[in-house]
Amino acid sequence: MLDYLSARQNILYPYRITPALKLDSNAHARAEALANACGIGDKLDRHPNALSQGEQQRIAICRALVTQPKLILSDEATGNLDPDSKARILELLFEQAAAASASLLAVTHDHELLPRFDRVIDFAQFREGVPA
Amino acid sequence: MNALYLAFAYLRYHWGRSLVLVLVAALILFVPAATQVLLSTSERVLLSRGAATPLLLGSRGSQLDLTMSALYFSEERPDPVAMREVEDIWDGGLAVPIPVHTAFSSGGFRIVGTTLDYFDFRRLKLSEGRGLSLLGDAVIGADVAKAMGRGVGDALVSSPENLFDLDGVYPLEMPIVGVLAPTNSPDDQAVFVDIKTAWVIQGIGHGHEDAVTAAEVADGTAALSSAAVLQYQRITPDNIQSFHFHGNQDDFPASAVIVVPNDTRAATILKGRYLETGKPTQLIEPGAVVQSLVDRIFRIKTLLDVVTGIKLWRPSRPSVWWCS
Repeated sequence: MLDYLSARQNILYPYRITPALKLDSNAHARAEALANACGIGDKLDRHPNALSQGEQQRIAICRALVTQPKLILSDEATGNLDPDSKARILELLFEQAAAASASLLAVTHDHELLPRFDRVIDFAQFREGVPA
Repeated sequence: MNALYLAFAYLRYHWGRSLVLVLVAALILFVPAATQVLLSTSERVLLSRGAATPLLLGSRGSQLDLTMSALYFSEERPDPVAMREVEDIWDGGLAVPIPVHTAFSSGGFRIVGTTLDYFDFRRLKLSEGRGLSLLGDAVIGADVAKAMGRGVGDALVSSPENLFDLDGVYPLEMPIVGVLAPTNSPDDQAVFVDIKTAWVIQGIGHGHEDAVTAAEVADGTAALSSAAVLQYQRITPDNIQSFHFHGNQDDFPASAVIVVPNDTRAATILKGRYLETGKPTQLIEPGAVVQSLVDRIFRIKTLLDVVTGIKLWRPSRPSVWWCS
């Protein structure tokens, strides 16, 4: 998260660093829609230091999804979120993945989430160095 | 494009920090540039003054001190040279000697006791008033007039040479009779007096106040004059005739003598006469002394430039920018 960019600029940042992506009105509309879905639609013009840690995490998630990637890598994406936000973000992640026919690869300690994934690998079985 | 976008976003958000960084960077660039300009200007001024003074006679010792004292009226106090040296050069007929006496000051400006030849030699012009004609007269440089806010008709007082010199002479009040036009040289910051006036300040020459009789004091027609209440001496039309000098004028001191030879041959002959190391005096070429000083300054500057260049090109540790 770049502290000198607003939430909106942070979300749209992938368009700045990827020449293949075109920053047009569709991108802006998608950024606003994602922010609204994450509950931070009214804070798009704020800078990260004026947002809570959870709000910053939601911006990071919006930034990951705004380019409609075919593969979404998620490492404890909901770790800093309250239960309501966590549910909302997870729903958003799954929605986006489905809409873009993308794969969602997530790392989590939250066992409640496991039933929602097509395939689960429990790394606990590798603790001794040999898979069970 | 992305770099510019980030740079402008950073500048806009962290404007205070960026301003400090820009100022520091500007300072880093400005200091060497300003030093370069300053040194070039100093070099030009130093060399032109040195080159314009063909020869300088003074006591043996530091040539630099002698040059700085006689040409730039610095604080250096080389051993005095006797006025008989001036007479010797006059008698030789090879050059015009111009004594300069720079031992005293007034209000932070050096008092330069000299002869009228100095004004012709330096081509000094008056912007106001007249030149030196009477004992005690002072002609001040343009910067002195500006700094002290004084002009023709005002007066200035010589500063005591040494506060702890209890038997020293009183300071001398000198009327300002002329102000020099600016020359952009050390002459602008000097107070010029006749060399005899400098000797009066030094205590070699002095005047006498008329004595007051006891009867005049008793009947109230005169007040008792006492040296105990006289804060400084003043040369007036009434007492100028009483001023006189004790001793042989050939022994009177000058800080240095500017020697203006008639031609190159005369200069060579004169230099040969002062080659003998046993003599108490030396004849130097101020231009060469100043050139040597400038060369040394530029050697140091070159060294500093090299050190600065190494430091700028090889910072002590690599900078790592981390964005999260």
